[in-house]
Amino acid sequence: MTSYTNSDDVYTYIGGIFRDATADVDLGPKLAASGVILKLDYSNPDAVLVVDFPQGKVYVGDEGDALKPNITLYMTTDLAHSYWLGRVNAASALAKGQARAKGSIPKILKLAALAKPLFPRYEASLRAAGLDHLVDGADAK
Amino acid sequence: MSETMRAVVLDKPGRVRVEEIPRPVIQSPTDAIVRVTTAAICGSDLHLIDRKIPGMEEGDVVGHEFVGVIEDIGDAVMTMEPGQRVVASMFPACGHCRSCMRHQYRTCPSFQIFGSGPGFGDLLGAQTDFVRVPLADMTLATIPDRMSDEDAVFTGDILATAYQGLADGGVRHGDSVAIVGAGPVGQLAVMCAPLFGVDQVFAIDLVPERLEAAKALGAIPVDARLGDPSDSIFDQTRNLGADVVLEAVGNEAALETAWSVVRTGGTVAMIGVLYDEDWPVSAGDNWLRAVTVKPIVGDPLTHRHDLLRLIETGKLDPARIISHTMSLDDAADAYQMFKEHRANKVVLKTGEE
Ligand SMILES: [Zn+2]
Ligand SMILES: [Zn+2]
Repeated sequence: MTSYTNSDDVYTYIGGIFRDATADVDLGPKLAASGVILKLDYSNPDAVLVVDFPQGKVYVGDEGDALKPNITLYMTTDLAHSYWLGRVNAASALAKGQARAKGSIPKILKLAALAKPLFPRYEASLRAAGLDHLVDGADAK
Repeated sequence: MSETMRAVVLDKPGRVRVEEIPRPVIQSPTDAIVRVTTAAICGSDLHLIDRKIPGMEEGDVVGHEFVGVIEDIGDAVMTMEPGQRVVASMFPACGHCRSCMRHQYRTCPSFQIFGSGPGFGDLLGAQTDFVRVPLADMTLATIPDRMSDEDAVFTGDILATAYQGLADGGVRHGDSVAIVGAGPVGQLAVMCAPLFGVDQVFAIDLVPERLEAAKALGAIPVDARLGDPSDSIFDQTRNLGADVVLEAVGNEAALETAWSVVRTGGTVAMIGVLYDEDWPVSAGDNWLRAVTVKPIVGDPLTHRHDLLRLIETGKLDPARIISHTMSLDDAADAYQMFKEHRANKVVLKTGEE
């Protein structure tokens, strides 16, 4: 499995796609309307992001500690990466115990659906940075 | 014989007192009068004295878990006779209506719970010297000779309720079961869990003594003061959650905990007393998670014979959770101790044998 080796890259690329999403003229308002403050707790490498959709802000590391997330997702960084490459079924990942969720399942699934148009942009951002091996080497989950 | 007797009645909200009230008499040919020897205080009695369940007023008699000796029977009582030692189901049922034929005693037209107020049929309570028992042939069961009153009293409600949570929760061999609330009913569910071949049973609570008691019975304790119980349960269930969850408290916080620890496709059995609480999740959320919900009013009529056998053969030992045996005269203190978690399970003795 080829994936991220450090949290800084996670913040740059996965954090980047969230920044992209919240700033998107079309998607941003829909995400803001969800009212979700999403905490992503990734492992191996460990990384934490808090996405405040109503405010359109993305916090990484301990920057978001003061926020009160209403949804928290726990998963490996690998799984998050595969998700953004469009290779993970979010509902079944939860049912199989690959990811753990706290909060409203309908909201989580709705966010997952909204994210779909971003998958090509995520891949493009990695390729633009010369990280093709992260795309071509990643397995389907 | 005196015409009055002692009874535990509601005092100001949150309290009980003992007072003299008229002795009950046979009102219907299917009634029996039972001389109570042992009456247990149940968690649902606390809901009543705190007036969570409306309709009960100061002076109303409480108590629905009791053992005694038959004093008198009506003309139509066929299978019971005076002098027999008996345990009562917390509610009578007729035994021959459509609901009873389906073992759905909760919807029998004769359903009423002892000492639970007009919302439950206005039947007088049994923390008394004597109690009138409707439909005695169905409601009462004789107790095996060598079994103590203290063991038998559990089959009238709380043990049957705990057992039914697991049975109706559909617990299967190898399941992980989480019990929210390690009070007496939760502890008894822990005690019953091995009968269902469970892999592991978790007991979630905030009270250290209760967690200790559940642990001594074989549970993995989960102290909700130390963190989110769902973290602990998911960590110990391959990230899946519990197959079956018993909500054994009866409040919104406990319901929320129950839904936070159940696995996708699992079952929540609600054995705590609920009245006007909201669901912790939306209907859609519940549907997406495919969680089966079982609201349970414990059913001693269905389970007590099996439970009496399991006690008789040593597979269940419910009396071990009794922390205090007190006189009926001291009921006010007993309730206070139970309410403040200074007592685990209290039985009141009338002094009669
Ligand atoms: Zn009870
Ligand atoms: Zn009936």
